[in-house]
Amino acid sequence: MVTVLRRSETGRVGAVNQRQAPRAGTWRRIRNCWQLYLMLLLPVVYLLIFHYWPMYGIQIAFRNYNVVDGISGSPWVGLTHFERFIGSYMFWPVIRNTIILHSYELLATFPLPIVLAMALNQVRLQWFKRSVQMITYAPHFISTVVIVGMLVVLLDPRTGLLNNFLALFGVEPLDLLGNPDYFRHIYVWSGAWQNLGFAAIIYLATLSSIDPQLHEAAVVDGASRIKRMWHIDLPGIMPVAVILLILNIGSILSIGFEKVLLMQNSLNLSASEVIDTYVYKVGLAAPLPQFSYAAAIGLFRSVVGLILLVLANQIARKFAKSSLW
Amino acid sequence: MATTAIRMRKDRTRRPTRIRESRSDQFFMIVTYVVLTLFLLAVLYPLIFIVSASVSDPLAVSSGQVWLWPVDLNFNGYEEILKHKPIVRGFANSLFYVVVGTLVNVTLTLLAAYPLSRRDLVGRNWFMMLFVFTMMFSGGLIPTYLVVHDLGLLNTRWALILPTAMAVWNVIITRTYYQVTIPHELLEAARIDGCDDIGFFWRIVIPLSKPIIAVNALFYAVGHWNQFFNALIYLTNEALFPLQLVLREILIQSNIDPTMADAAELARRRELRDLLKYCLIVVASIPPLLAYPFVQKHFVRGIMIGSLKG
Amino acid sequence: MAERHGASGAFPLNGMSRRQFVTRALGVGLSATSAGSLLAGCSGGGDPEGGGAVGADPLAKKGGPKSTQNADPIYPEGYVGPVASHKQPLVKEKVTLRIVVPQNTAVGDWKDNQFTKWYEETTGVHIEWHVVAGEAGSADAMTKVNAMIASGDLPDAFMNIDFSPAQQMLYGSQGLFVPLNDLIENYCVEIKRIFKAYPDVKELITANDGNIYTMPYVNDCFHCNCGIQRMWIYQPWLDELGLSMPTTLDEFEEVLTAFVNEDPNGNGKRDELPLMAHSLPAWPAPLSNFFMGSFLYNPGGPASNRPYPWLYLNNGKVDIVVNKPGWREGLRYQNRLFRKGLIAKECFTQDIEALQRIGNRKGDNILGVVRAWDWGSFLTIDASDPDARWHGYVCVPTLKGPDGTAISMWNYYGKAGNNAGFVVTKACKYPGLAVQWADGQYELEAQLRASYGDLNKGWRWAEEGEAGINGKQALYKALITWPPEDGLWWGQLGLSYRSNDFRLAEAVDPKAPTFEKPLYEESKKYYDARQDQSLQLPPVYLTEEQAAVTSEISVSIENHVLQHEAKFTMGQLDINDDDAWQTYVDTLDRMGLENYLRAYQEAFDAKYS
Repeated sequence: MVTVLRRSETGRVGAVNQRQAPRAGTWRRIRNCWQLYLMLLLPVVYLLIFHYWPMYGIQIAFRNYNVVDGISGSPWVGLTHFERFIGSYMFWPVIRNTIILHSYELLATFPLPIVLAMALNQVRLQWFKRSVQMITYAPHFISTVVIVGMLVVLLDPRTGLLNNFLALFGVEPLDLLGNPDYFRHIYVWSGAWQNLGFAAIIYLATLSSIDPQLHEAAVVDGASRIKRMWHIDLPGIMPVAVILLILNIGSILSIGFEKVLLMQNSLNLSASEVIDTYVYKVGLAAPLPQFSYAAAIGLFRSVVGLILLVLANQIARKFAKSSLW
Repeated sequence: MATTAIRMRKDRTRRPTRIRESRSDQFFMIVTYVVLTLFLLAVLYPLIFIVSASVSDPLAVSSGQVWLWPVDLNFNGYEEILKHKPIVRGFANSLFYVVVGTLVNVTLTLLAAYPLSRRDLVGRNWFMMLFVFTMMFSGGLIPTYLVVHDLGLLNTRWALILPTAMAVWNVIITRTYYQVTIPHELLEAARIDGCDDIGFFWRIVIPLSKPIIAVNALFYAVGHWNQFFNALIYLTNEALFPLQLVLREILIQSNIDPTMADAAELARRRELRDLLKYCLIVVASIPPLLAYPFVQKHFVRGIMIGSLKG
Repeated sequence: MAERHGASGAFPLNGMSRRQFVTRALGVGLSATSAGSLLAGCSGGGDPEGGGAVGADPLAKKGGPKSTQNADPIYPEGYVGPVASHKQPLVKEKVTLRIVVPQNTAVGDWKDNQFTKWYEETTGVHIEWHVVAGEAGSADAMTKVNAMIASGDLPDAFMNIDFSPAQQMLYGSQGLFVPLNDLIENYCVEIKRIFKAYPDVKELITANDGNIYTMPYVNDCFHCNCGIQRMWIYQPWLDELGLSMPTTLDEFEEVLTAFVNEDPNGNGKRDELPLMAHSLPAWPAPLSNFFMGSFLYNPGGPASNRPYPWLYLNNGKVDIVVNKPGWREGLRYQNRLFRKGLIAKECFTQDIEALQRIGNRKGDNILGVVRAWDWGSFLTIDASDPDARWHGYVCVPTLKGPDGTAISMWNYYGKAGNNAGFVVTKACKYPGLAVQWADGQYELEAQLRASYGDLNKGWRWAEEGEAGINGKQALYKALITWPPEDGLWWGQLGLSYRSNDFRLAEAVDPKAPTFEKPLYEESKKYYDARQDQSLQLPPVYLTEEQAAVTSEISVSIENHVLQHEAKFTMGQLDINDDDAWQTYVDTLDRMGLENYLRAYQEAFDAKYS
């Protein structure tokens, strides 16, 4: 165990030294890392051009945008679009559905890739390890249309594989697709099935950077596999996991709309109408695209997301070792 | 040189002396293998189904006869794909976007991630906020389109490469990886050896971060491969369309307005879709699957910092 | 402003439409005297970009290119539709137009397409194609088009891009789209034939300001007008059980009961399925599209050729049917069938492919009754096999309700109902030439080449004595099993003038029957019970404010109604419970139904009163 701790301690010591270094003039410290700024130059220029330049377009949310008058020529309407969204009948249902669906997805699917990666990391049979990695990564490339099509086949109450299987045990066929309560389970777990292998890659890469000496030493100390996973592997990937979690919390109000839209039917609409499908239907698929309204809803979502992200980051700073800033 | 401070080696060349595993460890490993195998099968079944369906008679697929192995084995779908010029052209275009796009992506990502991982970078948090802010807020589609238009990128191959030249998500992950794996002592040791920041980055950091470079390359390449929306928005020249745009055109025809097409035309489109659907998935999945082993080999434990002198 | 129109009170639509209908049926042209052209007189010259500049084009020849008659075709008696002629090229030297079109598999590469090449040779006009990917009219494609417009990088014209009436009127009023009235008058030939034969088409494409912003895509498709209602039944089963085609709700229930209980497929197993359908998003979805006709006029749920789900005209007032007592009775009936196990619960959840899997099932047929657009929606249709299963399915007519009500939902406005025509922008230097180029596509030979490929390869002119689908002299004969190979034709894009006579003038090969004829015959069952035209809300041109109101509320209403149809039918909510029904009705009001109806009322009044 001593070996395990040593590494993180040395890391800490370094950091502390850094902070305690005499405040020898900010300018000199800036000059000292001019090469780092040079490296940052290109990425920052990219962000400025392709991300910050278009941001003047956010004002669309406060105007009645039409493409002919352009962004600066369209009339100001203040907070009208925000009031319309918040006052609309669908406001609470879509917010509720979005948050529930996303939180569920987060809770259910966030830990799984970590577990998968750590389990794979224990496997010594190289061919087995490689096959599992490769095959579980493959579903990521099946398009959403096909995934949803296959779900419908699988879960069909009359002919579906699942219900035929359940029937073997005398279980009554379940109409999973028609029940709004099941919509979320199906959405989340099919997503987990599809993306688990892909999501585990990042953790596999991180695990491969852990010093084998730590494991060797722990083995000598007689630590069991579970103990080593808990005390060496898990702390090793924690920083990456925490960062991913923070980012995920920031996007709590966004859910890719394509899959939800394809899974919608008259019976599950009460659970399946989320912000993104709503914006799509009201804003973009409308007879006259409501760009301003869509932008206002988007901005609302961004503000909520930013607040959550900052909060999550503060919490992470306090309790975990890693944070965004 | 800094290399004096580092020893690189492969795990496989020198294994720790095997200590006999305890009972509980053996039990634990059995459970692990069983669970992984079950998961493997759960994923494998639909994949086999797709491959089988792609070489079966479409009617057999749509009447539910195919459930594991092919029925009425034939390769008509694949022949049809080869005849379909836009698919072949789209495939070539997509390869171009993947290769060039990924090169640009990885370069920018590493350039951004390393400085942001350095604790001594003055203003690091401000830079981080500058980066993270763009993940939450965007100007929206039309303003972004206008920028691409003003830069003269519309309808050029660059329209699929420059606007997505870097993903902040990847930068943050890579930065975190650096923070975890590149100890500050290493930099100090290198400094003593006379290495400046760029030299350290080039000679030490990059060789040490092969796993994360591989992951980045994979994520970006997959992103480019699956990308269709930017192509849809920025391109109107069919000669530049990537594969995914062509695929969508064929796959998402079920919602076609029946008043616009006669019954026979509708039937033909459905038939074509049924014939090609699974073949297209197979064809579109092959390149990323082929690429995976190249990425995977960098995950082998041990390409890493052995120890630090000091 | 809209109130002023409303106050005038007069409601001319009923009389007017009947006149139009007579016109069409007789096949004689009346000069266009629709309200639209009268309005055009009022607001003429209102175009800000100057009608003068637009009306004149130095390159294009007034009155259309020089043309000579084409003597090859033999027209059936009383034929109304596209006419063949040989036209001289539109220009002497090559001119290039930039045109935006949708991506399409059947067309393939627009610039290498065979019809494109022929048409370029014929007209002398070269086209620089700009292809928008994504389904035509989809939100993705329209976003791209709007981004194009926003960037100011306008093409000369948009073809087959689905601009809704609201968009046409907005962009037209902003001077972005050029009004075509004068251009058509001065430079076009073929479209005038359309306006003559179909005055209502001209009426439909005329915006509230009296201007025409799009050349029409005309497809007088008889069967399309009732497609979202059609209910199919397997005739061999009726024969097997000695039952006749049901005509009332009660008889229908008896037939369904017999199908489920009496083993019509004769395999000794109770594997026959009750009534089947597929759910959204592939339309046409709700079961009520069929059943409500036995209780009240139902304009139908969401569908792309019916932009206003469930809205109808109640003595000139826009109203909605889903909160009426008749609707409740309809749901009560659906619930009764469901409770007896005669409606499959998958109707509300399964997608179209799941339905096809049942229809295509190998071995004994198990599908007796199915609610779908055509055979292709529930099985794979094989035209060459005379014993194929699809031949057995015929339509159930609109059933008589308890008080004898039986009203089909007939779409009177479908023939130019698609907005996917040809729009000229202010960037076009030769607007006269552009409309002439478009106009030439309505010519008969161009129509045939665009949909069958080359003359004497894909099709030929019919010979004397060959009979068409309607039994009269045929006009043309396909030489291939339609549709042609990709790249040889325009995949039913471009500008279409498929009149009913034209559609029925295809020579029939008795050995290889097409789907068109039986589909036509089956659809007649609904035509006979169609609603009065005055009940249907015709296409309206929403203003920006109206569009903002309706797009928001329509999503809530559609979700609510579809969801409750399913819940009441399946008994998750009790249709006999007055409170449940009242809550359903009240919720509609809380969603803003009143504002929704008012917006449509204003838009309707602005155009039609």
